[in-house]
Amino acid sequence: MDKINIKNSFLIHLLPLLYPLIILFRLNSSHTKYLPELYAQAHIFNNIPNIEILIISLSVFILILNLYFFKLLLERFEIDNMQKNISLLLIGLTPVFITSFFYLNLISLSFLFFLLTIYFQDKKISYLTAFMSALVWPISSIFVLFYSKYTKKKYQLISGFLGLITIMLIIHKFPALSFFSSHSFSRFVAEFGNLQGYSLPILLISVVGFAINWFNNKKHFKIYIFFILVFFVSTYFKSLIFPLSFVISFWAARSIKFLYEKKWSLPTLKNMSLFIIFCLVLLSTSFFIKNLAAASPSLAEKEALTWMKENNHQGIVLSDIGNAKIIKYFSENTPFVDDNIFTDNNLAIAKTIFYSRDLVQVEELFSANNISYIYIDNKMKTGGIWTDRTQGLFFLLKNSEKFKNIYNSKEIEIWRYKQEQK
Amino acid sequence: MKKSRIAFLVLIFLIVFFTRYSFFSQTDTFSDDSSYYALRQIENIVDTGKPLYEDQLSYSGRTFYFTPAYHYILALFFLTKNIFLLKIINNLFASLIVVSSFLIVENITKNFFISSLIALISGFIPLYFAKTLNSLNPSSIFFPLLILLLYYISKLRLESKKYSSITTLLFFLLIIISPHSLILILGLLFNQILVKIDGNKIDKKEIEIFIVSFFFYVWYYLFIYKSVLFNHGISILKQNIPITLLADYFMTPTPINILLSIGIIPFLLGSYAVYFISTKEKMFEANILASTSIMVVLFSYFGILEFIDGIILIGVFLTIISSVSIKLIIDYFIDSKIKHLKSFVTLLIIMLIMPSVFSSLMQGEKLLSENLDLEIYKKIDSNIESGAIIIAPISSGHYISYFGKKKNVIDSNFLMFENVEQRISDVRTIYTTPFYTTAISLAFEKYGSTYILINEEARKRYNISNIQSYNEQCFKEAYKVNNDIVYQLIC
Repeated sequence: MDKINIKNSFLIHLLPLLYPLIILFRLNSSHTKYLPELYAQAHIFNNIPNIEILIISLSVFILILNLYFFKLLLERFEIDNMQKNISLLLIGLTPVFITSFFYLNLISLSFLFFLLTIYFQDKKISYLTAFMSALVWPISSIFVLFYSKYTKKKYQLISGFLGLITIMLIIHKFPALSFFSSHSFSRFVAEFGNLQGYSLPILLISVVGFAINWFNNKKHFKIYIFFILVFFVSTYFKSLIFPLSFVISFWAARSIKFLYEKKWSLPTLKNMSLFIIFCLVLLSTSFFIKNLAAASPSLAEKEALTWMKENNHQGIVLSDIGNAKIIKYFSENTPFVDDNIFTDNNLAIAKTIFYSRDLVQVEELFSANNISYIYIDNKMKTGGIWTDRTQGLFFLLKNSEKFKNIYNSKEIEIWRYKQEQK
Repeated sequence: MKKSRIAFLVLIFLIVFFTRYSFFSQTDTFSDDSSYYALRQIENIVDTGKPLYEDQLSYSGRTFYFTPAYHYILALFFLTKNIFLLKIINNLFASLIVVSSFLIVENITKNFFISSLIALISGFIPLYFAKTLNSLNPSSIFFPLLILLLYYISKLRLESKKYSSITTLLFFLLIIISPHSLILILGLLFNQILVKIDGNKIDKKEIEIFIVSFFFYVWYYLFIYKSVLFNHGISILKQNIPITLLADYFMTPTPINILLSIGIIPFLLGSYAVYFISTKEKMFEANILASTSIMVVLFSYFGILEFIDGIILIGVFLTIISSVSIKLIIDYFIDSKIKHLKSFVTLLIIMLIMPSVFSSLMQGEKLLSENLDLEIYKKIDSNIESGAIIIAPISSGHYISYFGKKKNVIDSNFLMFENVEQRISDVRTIYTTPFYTTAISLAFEKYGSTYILINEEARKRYNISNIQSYNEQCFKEAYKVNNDIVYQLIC
């Protein structure tokens, strides 16, 4: 049976050690070494030398531990070698998992605590891990609470609740500590443009495994319903994609095992289907890595923002929400909109400014919010916000003396707004 | 099958083909602009061995994303650069629907007479006839292949060893020819779900073929559309057709539209057959046709499948399923031992065939009577300097690229092009604004264009007689053919 079985799964959970190679691809494609998320975190601890390398090392270590404890749990639940190893391999190739090496992903840390909670199920340390899981990342509590309720472990349930309440109180008191984002997005699959999304092939393959489990083991239907619900919620809350990817990889491995072991009526199709699935996952992963290597920020973006800092252009910068982190890090300016849920009101104001051609209204909003600069990248100009020079603020910039173009390159435009002297 | 029967089937095929021939041989051009896009692709394959992915002319330079299988197949017959041969091959493929329909109907009814009748009718389904008569598009291979594949899938249930290889091969071919093959893949799955709900045993072979073809489909189209999917997301499924033009592509499906396109008699007989199959008789071949039809309706409803293609497929399926009703009617009259059976059958044949044939011939006449005047495009190359960009209505874009070898601002290939809506709106403004400064700033500054074409299409689409901002200081007539004029911007 086990022709394709990898007897020793030791190497599989060391897969994250290969991820830093992507940095080499990025450097070869005129992009900065890291992603905006890492710059945002490095910005917080900017007095620690080589903080970027430290963050990446820590992230890789957490990912390895995630895989390792996931493996131990699969072994405890007596999942056979083939399914276990394929599950580990698939999770290691999932986009959201790969992208997580680029920054200290609190979701991966929280999920590690969740795995530890299950692993140490009856030991007292599991109360602490349940608490930590909810504390590190509040949305994680839905997993901890569901698991504790389902397995009737009341102390873990209480710990989970305590963790959730603690973090909510902390965030309420110190909004700046909120690391999670609530902003919705329509693309939840990596192939459709979200670098932290599901892998489409793995998602499709997992459907077969889900159906098999559903029909063969109906007594756990509550778990299946729970995961279906979480899946639909994850299309809105992207932070749920990371933990759910483990379950999806598990089901995908179940599908592959099923296709491999099943007696086919048309035997020629068996190897063909496994080969196609192999090619599909390979294609998806290689394309994803290519996109990750070419993801923002580019060197041109870095250059423009560093120029702002060096020429002492300091103030509040209006730009797309996706540029918030690099604006903070490279120009040391304050972005008007970022992904903090407590500044959601600014998003509505930014939207009004972007699409208004009413100069009086725009000037009022600029003054009221003390906005001094507008940072425009290629994506914003080509459909991200405007499609044409005649639209909204893009039109006003060239037709009002209030705005002055202070930086212009092939990709980037920076405009300064002359604030009225009060 | 007996030789005489094969000869009869060949005769039906030839009738359909030569009817088509009598139309397409009357003209040396194609009836639509997108045929010339296909022709450019085929020419490029013949010249370089590769399709034209990076095109400098369409939209003044863009990348195409498409499956090139159809173009490669036709390129094999275009080595001599004979467009007429291409027309013949395209129509031969389209006429093969006769054979596919014959095979599947014979499998359903086991009646040679009914199979031949339906084969003949399927060769004259009006919309299909019009769409594949004088145009180059993958439908001419896709539809016959789809029906043939349905036939092989139904045979698979009986003799899997004999037919598994050919079925898989045809499935792969269908997938690489058109992304619409997903209809059949999902139709297979839907059929099995219905079987399961009905309390019957699921057919393993069908599920296995579904799994392989589905994953092959995902792999193939992920490979082709990876960049377009990444940039456009799931919206690619609507082929990026601008909202302002959506009505042109996805007509409103009213009952009258559908009835006229399919033909009233096949519709009535087909509907009764669907009712009969679903209530009284288990008929696998017909069930799978019905499941695929439901997928067609869903795809059309969600705008994934062009309305015309959806209607053609429904028309073909209903025509094939109507064979069940015809068999029931004939059996009834045989059982009742009426005296004038032969007269009745003759009347039935006339009633069934004549409306479709008549309607198809009308469609053919209509296509030829439109008689596109392409002279203006043919003279572009010699009258306008190379590298020039020409503003023209959407449906003229491919003609400018093919005949004039010049850059256009917009054409009917919208896939993976940013801001198409904006371009449509700008081109409209250029033709309709009364201010020449606006027209010139859009044409020249925004698109770098120094020429504007005014032809019948522009007059009709924008409801104008000439460029609204025309004045002698800024617009110089570069050249003129009949009423079509190319203006040069000189301000």
